[in-house]
Amino acid sequence: MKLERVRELFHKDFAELRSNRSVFISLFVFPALFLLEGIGSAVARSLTTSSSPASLVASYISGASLSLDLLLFVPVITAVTIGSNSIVQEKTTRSLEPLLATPITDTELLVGKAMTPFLPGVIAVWVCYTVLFTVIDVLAWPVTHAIVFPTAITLFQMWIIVPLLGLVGTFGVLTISSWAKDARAAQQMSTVIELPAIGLILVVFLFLPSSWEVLGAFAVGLAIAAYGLLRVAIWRFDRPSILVNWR
Amino acid sequence: MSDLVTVSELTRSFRPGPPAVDHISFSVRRGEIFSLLGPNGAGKTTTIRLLSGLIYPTSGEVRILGIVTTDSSQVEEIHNAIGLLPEVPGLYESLSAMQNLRFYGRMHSLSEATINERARELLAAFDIWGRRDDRVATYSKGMKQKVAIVRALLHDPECLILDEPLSGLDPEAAKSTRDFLVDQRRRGRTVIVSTHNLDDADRLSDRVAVIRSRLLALDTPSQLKSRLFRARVEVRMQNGSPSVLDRVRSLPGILHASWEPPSLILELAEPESELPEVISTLVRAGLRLQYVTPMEHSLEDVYLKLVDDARGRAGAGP
Repeated sequence: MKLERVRELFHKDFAELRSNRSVFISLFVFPALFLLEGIGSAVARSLTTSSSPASLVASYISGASLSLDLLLFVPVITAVTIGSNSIVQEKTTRSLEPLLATPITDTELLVGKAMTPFLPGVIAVWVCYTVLFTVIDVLAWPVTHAIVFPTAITLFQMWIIVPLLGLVGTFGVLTISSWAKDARAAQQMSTVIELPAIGLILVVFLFLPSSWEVLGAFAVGLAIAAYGLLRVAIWRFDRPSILVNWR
Repeated sequence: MSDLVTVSELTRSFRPGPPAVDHISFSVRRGEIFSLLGPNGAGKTTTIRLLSGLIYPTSGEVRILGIVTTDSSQVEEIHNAIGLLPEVPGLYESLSAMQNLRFYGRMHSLSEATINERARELLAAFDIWGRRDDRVATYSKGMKQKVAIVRALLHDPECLILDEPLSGLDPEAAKSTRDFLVDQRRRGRTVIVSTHNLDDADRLSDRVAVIRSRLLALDTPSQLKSRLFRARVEVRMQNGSPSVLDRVRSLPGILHASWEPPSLILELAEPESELPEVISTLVRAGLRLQYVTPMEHSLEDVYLKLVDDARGRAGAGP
């Protein structure tokens, strides 16, 4: 696999994404809203007087948790929004044929195509987490004289759960994208990927107690799902049938 | 000239239905312009995709530079040897021509300097260097087609495979593209063209393959014409009349004669040897000849005859 080709494909896809301003701007809406919710909540807590530094730390952690959990939707939503257009767009503009006539291998094409749906969402969440952690620590410092964030669990969410969610969304949508026979079908089928992932996030983070056991099981489940979807994507990615079956 | 492309018993089926390409065999020599002619649905685009290694044959094989196109270990060699212009240009419309070319150049592992040099040379040849940084979406259809041809040539392939390269181009753009293709042949590049523009095929091609799922005929345009039609000559006269037919019909070698005022139309078995006698007979008879012109059948006549014959055979059934 030549990494230069993968990088070029990512650069090209990202340049195309940037040129589609409405889609590009819409990618920032959810992260910005969820981040603002977290910052607003932190500022509100900083204005209330608390009995002790310990209870203030607990208050900041519980106040930020909704925002941190909501941000977990972002890698999935972003992957589906960008990815459902990824191969489909190459098909509709008929640019897939000249692309497949270059020496690019199937693996390079799949990895390159996966980067654009995967990276923006994951990086956006990392940036939002970092900003929120910093804001809360700055606000809390005068009272607590201690670092509130990141906690071990939020670090695990940030570095393990967020990329895994991005991978599940990306590989799922790439599978559908190369499977679908027209653009509308691809977009409709892509929403099928979103719903179970969003449902799982809701159950695990909003309704179950935040424990290492639950998070660990969730991470293992996501890793298995991501690997399974990757295998399906590789199996389904058959360039002759993609060219022939597309209408 | 050695063969660059060899096609052996090539067959591709799509279920349901008869094969799109059915046991086609031919070879393409280095440095020739080779045209694939056929009606819509004849399998031209499928053949182009098979030649480019984009789809695989159901049976048979394509060899380019001796390498079988289905050999996955040599994908890089095959795709670097081919420059493909698909039926639709398939450019990234939100990017500029230069961004498109940079992307494809890097896919072929070309250096930045090579991409810039080749892009400048080729875009200038097509007179679009000045608009290289404009978004492709703002280009006319002809300009997009030209950029797509530049893309196919960027990595300096030995073989250009072009699916309907002149389709939708205005006469000026079509002429410049035709001239460009002839120039590519002069430089030793092999060009395979799929077209249903018979006039273009006639003017451009060294050899023509007429296909309708199967290979109906393969030869140079002039050989195809002489194989399928007898030589005809128009003798235009100042003082002719239908009675001239009686004088010429008795001459040796005359296969058919007709009077189309003010000309006598003759079909001859061997015009080079028989025509002098015909002319002197007419002159001796007091006829004043204005000119004697060979009447060429067009490639269109050849094509229509071949396709009609094929339809007739298919209609007759086994």
